[in-house]
Amino acid sequence: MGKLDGKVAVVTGGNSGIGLATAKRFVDEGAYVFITGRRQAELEAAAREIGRNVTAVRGDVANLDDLDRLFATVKDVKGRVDVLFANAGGGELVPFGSVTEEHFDKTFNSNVKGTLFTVQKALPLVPDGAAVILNGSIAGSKGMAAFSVYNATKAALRSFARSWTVDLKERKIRVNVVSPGPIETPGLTGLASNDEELAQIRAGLTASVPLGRIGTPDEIAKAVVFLASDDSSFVAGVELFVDGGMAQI
Amino acid sequence: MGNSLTGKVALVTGGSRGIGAAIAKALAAEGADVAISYVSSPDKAQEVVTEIETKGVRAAAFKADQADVAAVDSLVREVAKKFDRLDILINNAGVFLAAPTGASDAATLDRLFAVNVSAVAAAVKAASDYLPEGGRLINIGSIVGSGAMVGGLADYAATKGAVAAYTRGWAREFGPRGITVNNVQPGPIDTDMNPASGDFAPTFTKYVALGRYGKPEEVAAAVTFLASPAASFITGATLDVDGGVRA
Repeated sequence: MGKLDGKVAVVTGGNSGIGLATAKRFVDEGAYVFITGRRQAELEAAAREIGRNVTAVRGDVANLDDLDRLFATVKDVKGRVDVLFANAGGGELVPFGSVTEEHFDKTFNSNVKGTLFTVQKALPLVPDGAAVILNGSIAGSKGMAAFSVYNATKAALRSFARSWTVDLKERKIRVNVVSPGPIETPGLTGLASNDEELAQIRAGLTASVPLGRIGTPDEIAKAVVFLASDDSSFVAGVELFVDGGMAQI
Repeated sequence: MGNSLTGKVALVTGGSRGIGAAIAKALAAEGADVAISYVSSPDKAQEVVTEIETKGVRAAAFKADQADVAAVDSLVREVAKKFDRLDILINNAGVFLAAPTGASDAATLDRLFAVNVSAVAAAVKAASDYLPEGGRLINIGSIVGSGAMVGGLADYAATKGAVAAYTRGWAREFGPRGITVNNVQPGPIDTDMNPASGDFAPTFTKYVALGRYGKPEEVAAAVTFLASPAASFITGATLDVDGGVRA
């Protein structure tokens, strides 16, 4: 018996990293999952890796037409969304003095605008008592050099979860944030331009994590399963840090 | 029934009633052997032990006065001796007091801090001698440790704020040993201490986004998650189980 038997789930950015690991866990726990991603080939490979009870829908969360197509497909195939993991997003290291309007818009469009409209456009398919999980980051609670725009988008998501918990309280929809610390993902490796730089980033992060290591995507996935399942039935509007203690202490 | 805690030994302080009893049963349902402590309810403690044993795991109840740090130290060591190990410590026992500032005496304040803070510190100090890599320390705080929704709880809130600070300090110290330390902060939960049908209930319920009191089993489910291997990268965290009071 799984923790999500019979549930229909949507995972945006489900083609790699934390999103893919979570989609796999959802299916292992008995859910049917829709995954999205921008790149068709990678998305199809992810769907093959998940292997069963999955539908892949190509799309960019920053594009509202893509979101309409996504939820039209979900409506046709399953008719509802019991669990929504708004995970898609990303960031790039840019020193404050070099931040451009293009960098700002790109980051806020995918992380903030994309998340808002992912959740809003899902609502007609979301039954009362459903679970919405936003993928935040410890970046929303810490000052990280050359990362201010990304950090601000993640702080915005934490704020969204507070407001939406109240906005949606009549429908008993639980909105929570999972906030990863440093995790071995393509997003982490993508921050470095070469192996030496990546080794430096890894060493720096490891030293600042009380548990003394970088986390795995599956460790985030398991926390998302908790927030998606009945095990968290009285948990609403929280930010659950899964960061080895990095931003806690 | 699951098996995520099979082979583990857990101690739940104040495990004879309310949230503690629900936690003890939930950990046992995941395969853990469970010890509980109690002060004044031996019959209720025995009922919990009997119910846990039907799940096919070992259980035992220990009388220990939480106001006595020596008794708490002995409790932890006796549990570790009886079960040959200790993997999970749930610091659940606590006393609640509502009184406007100035209305309680020094002895009452001392008792609040003795049970809610000093006993927790004594239990963790003793457990440190036994907890292996992968071990779990879970404190049961309260959302009033983070915010004052109503007046009259400042003394109690201060004890729970201390627990939250201890959680962070211990997470730092136990991290290198691979032991996680977390703080679960319940909101209004339907127990003998604060029944959903009680005088305070209408006041508290209006703060809850989900519009109701929580059940002890809902706190237990969150504690069980943090105790399990699934929560291996979570430490130093505070998890509110409050239906959205602090959203």
